[in-house]
Amino acid sequence: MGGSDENRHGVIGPMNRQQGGLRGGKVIPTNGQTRRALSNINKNIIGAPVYPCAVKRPFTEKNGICNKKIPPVPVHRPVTRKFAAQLAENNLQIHKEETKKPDLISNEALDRIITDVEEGDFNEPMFVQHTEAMLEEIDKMEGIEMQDSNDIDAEVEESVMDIDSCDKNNPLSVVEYINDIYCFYKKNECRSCVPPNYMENQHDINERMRGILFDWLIEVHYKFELMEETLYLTINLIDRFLAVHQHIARKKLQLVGVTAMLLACKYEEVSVPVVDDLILISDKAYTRTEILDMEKLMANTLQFNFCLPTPYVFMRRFLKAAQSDKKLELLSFFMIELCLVEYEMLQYTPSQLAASAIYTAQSTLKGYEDWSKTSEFHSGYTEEALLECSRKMVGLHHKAGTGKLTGVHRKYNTSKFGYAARIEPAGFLLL
Amino acid sequence: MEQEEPCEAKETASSSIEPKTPNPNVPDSIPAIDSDSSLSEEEIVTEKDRGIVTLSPLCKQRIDSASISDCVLVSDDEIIESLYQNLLRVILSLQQIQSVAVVPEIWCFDGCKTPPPSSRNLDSNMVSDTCPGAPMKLTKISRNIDSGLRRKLF
Repeated sequence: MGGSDENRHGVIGPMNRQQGGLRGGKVIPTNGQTRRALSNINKNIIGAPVYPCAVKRPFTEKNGICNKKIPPVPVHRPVTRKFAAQLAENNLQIHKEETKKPDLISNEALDRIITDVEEGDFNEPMFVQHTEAMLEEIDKMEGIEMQDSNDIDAEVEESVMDIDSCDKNNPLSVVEYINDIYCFYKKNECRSCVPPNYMENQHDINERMRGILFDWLIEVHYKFELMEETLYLTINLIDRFLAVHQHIARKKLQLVGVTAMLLACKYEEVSVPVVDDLILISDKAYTRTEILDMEKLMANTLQFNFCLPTPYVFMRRFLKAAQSDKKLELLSFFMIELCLVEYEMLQYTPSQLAASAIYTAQSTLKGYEDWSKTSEFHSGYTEEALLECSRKMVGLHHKAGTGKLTGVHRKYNTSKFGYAARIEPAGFLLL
Repeated sequence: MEQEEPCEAKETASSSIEPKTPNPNVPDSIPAIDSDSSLSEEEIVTEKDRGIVTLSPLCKQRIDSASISDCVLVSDDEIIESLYQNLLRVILSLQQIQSVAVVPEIWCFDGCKTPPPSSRNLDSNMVSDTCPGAPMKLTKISRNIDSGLRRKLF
């Protein structure tokens, strides 16, 4: 009892002293304000008599518990999880006491219980809010992750450039189905390929003679100022014919070459060179009748299949994908024409030769390996898939001006072809 | 129905009974037969007589008419054929005359005459006018080929 009285005086005392010290002369108005505060405190004090009733109980332990509860003032204390738990425990104890209290006391206890229940209800939203906050955070995290994945996809999509957007207004570019065309070319290019060892079946000619013939035909093609695709078709027709017709005498090999050029010109050119010109360039080794008979033989042997894809069609597409300039274009064609003369390059498909030529040329010009995602997408070849062929091209580039077969080098060592043959080969690709 | 059937039976019985009653009267039956037989005989005789009489003159008439018609028909056919043939000959001769006369008139359009084969074969100028040469594809003139390019490789 005495302890409780001391607490009351202590609470009142310090407030009065502080106010008096701050406003010495005009103590009366401040006293009025302090009285309002004191009135509130007095009300709290009035509420305290409830506890003496508990003190009057015979059980001393319970009284002690009540005394312990008095010092902490619940009104001023924030509701925390621990405090909520304590309140819950207190509620349980009060509930137990209700069973033993008289009716009057039980009514008061019920009022308190009601207030406590309200406090409990107030606590529940906090948990709900907490879980909601957590869920929101989780949702945000998921959203971030989704955005990240979308960004990654966007990056992948952005890396593959739309190379046909600039030609949408050009009907000759056939933008709507150009991809279908090249899918068809890719699918059918195997039909234009020949066994890489077909010379083994020939009895009187060999791969060296093939190189001599092609080197000369490249020179004829250049001097006659024929279209680029005519050269690739000529080479293709010769290889396909020799792969099927396995008994060609070496004296007739040049006849096969000039006739193939005649057929290719009839297919690709606007103005066809006359047969007499072909007789003349072969130093009158063949007659007009021989050329025309060979033309019929070749056309029938090849079953009039003259529109199979050659490396040229893939070069045009892949150069567009590489966003090539004139220098890259000329160097790429230089690379692939070096391959036309070499028998060993028959092991690669036309599309692979074209892609490798462009990769080699790009790397040569830039001084480092360069193969964009766009080029990879449109060619269908990764950089690793092109390395083997590319290294062989670098080797051919090294020895281009040496030896007897220098037709390609001489062709590309002119101003018309940008002196592409003078560019140093990419030796780093051989490492 | 059963009642009707006995009625029919009765009627049949009555009808059978009634003819029996005249059977005892023999004179009644005999005259009837006689009358029938007499009619039939008369009829037979008359028919036969009529037939004979009628047939013989019809046959005679037919024969007579046939002989007359045959003579007439033969003569008429011959006459008609001779006339037809004569007319055909006349018509054909007229057509021939007309065709010979009209054909040049029909096919001789002004400015569109087809020359006779003989004149076609003889006149070369006419041939060149009527049959111009087929269009020839224009080919590029032979190139100036570098002497170094002219090589026999093998």
